[in-house]
Amino acid sequence: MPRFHELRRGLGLACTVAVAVFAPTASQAQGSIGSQGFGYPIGGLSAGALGAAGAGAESDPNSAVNPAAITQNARYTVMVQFQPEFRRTSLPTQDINTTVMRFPTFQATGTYRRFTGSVGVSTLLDRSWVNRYSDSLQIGGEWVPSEIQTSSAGALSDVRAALGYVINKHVQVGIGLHGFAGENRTTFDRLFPDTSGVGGLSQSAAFGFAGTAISAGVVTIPRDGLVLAASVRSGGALTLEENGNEAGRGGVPTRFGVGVNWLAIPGAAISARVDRTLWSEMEGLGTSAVSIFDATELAIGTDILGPKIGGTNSLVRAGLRDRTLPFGVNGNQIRERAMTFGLGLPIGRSRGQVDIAAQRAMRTGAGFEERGWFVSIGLGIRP
Amino acid sequence: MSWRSLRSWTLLALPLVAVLGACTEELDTGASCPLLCPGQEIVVRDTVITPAYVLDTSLVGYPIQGLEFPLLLAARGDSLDVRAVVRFDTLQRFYTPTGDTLQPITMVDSAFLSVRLYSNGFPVPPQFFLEAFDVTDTTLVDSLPLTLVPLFAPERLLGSLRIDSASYNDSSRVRIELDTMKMREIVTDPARRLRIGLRVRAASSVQFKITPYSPGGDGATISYRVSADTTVPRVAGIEPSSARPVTPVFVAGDFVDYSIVVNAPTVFRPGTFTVGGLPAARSYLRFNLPRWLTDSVAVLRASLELTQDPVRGISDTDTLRLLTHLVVANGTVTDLRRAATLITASGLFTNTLRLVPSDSGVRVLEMNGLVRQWGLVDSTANIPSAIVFRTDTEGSAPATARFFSINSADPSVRPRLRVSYTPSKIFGRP
Repeated sequence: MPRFHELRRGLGLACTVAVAVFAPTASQAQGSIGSQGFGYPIGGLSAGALGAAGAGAESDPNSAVNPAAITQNARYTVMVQFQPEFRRTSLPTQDINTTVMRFPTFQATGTYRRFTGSVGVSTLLDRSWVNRYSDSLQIGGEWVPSEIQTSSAGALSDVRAALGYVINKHVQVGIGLHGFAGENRTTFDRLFPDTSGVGGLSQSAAFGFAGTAISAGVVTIPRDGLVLAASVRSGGALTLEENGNEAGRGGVPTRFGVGVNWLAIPGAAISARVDRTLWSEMEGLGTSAVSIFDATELAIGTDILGPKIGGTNSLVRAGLRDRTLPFGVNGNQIRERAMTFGLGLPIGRSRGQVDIAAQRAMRTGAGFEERGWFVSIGLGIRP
Repeated sequence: MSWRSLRSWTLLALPLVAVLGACTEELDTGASCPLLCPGQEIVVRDTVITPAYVLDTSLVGYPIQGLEFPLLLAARGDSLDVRAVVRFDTLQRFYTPTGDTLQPITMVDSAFLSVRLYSNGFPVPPQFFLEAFDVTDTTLVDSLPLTLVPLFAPERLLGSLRIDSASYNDSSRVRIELDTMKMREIVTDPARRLRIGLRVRAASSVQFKITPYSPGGDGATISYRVSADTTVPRVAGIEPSSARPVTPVFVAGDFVDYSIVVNAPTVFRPGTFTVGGLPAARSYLRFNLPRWLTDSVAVLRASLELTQDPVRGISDTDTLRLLTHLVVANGTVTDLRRAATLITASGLFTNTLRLVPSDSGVRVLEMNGLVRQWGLVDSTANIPSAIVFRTDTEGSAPATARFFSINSADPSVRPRLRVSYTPSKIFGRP
């Protein structure tokens, strides 16, 4: 049983982390091919998993993917992640640089005998951006210049309560209950010169999401050095409310995936993962203008033991990821490929872990190209 | 690293990273929109609403008597004759001789009326006269100033000032010496009021303005001596006052000074509505916009197109500013002349037009701000959507603007309301 002061200490840290996670800092421009529709799919991957391109996410206890994987965690773990993106979108005429700040994942887990429980929040779709640009409109037969500023703040988040159970040292299973909630606050301002006699437009709306899903997973170790994992998430209805009134109804996208970790040689593991998300189940949530595609993700990566720090091995990671994004541009699906590198650094005599991952991602589609660096910094505390 | 130090660093690092991260954000997307920003385009539709409104009418008699600013004095042949009345219902009738106690005034000498006189750009004739008449008659109805016109008679002349253009200093105060005998009669009779009618006269057209009364301001004043003893100070700077009408309370103050339009050109014509002139007119326009326009769409531009009907005659080349006011009177105010005084300040939600009376053609009043305001009004409230036009020189200049009304025989010159709008729901849901 955890001692009281340990629990208090953990709760205090959790509150601090929660404040940082939900601080309103994230904003990115919709004027990117990765942020169309309801937003960019973050993926729910931990910084540790991202270092190896998410190839090991099915068995990663800190990724919000497989509820059975949480049994891999220590007795108590709190994990938070910071993930900035430095992006360059290439257009026929110019390149646009943007910087995006995200705190996509928070999770706390605890273990009691063969059971491990966790609660966590991860960003499913990040739809926070600001656009500023100018154009001209023909009003009353006359071209009038205007300035446009639009913004969306918010995200669709996946709040998961998971329970994992260790059947034996070869098989762990888990289930997760998901609540999908979030809000998009959008503003639209179109301003005209005072001298034009045209009144500006200023509109704002608040969109709220509500949905539920259940997930299940298994992690098996058929023989030493080989880990197989699989999980599935099946969703119920997902509703979209606009200013308190239902504006759309769809489904929480079903997701299923499998992964394998193979300790090919001592000190080096190779991982691979296939993941499929049926984003098209969200149709009905948006207007007919949004194009939604089911998405497939393939990842391969490796974790290699690095030099010892404070008596504990560090990890060096690398991987490749290929996936499609759920929301297209002009009806065309977007493909994202990424090369990743990562480090896992133990701190505090293994009571903490800092994972750092860097991704070089390239998105293409509809004749556009976008390149970006993601940097993920994950901090895990094991009190 | 100890657990305690790890926790401390964690507590520090998280908000620090968040703050630093937020500071480095770069949001401007430049040229990526609208290519990569779907759903942000708007469809603009144009329509013309005819008739533009349901009622237009000219309402005469503004400003309300006593609220003219400044007061006009004009004598422009047969075309225009405007005079002013200044009341001195309270005069100083007692004084304190040197070394004595308070005494009734029995002697009046060296009385004069002082007014600030300015031409306001109107040509000053070589020679003109500013005349002051005793137009006191408390039996007459206060609100009918034209009843005073017969009192501008030679036998009631209190004083006259001849001014040559060469010696005239524009905007200076001038003194009209007042008849000593008549002033003595007035001052020594406690029941007597003094109401001075002012008239300007010249061989050619003449027009001046004088500053009306305001407390401690620059209005007309009277001064007189009350003793041959020069050590007794002069009664100086008596400001105008009005003791009537007694009821309603507070109205007397409006009658301290006011204009009398004795003669002015008629500027009204069937099928038109008029703004300005003397006595000044306001135009009242009541709209009944379709509900969809105020409820269901976002109005980008609403332009009221009025066709100006030239007004020829006096001051027809002067420039006037047409001020637009939103009427705030609700439907229970059925007297339109009163409703046309319950208005907002000018220039709210709309533009101001500069007009020349003799011009013609289409004039455009941008009123999308007004249409939007009307859209915010509770549709169940009995508040008419109405505006009032008035001129910036209302009551103090003859310049007039006239427009064809919705009842004009020629449909091509009737007012039109051109509206550009977009559906009100345009953004947010992907």
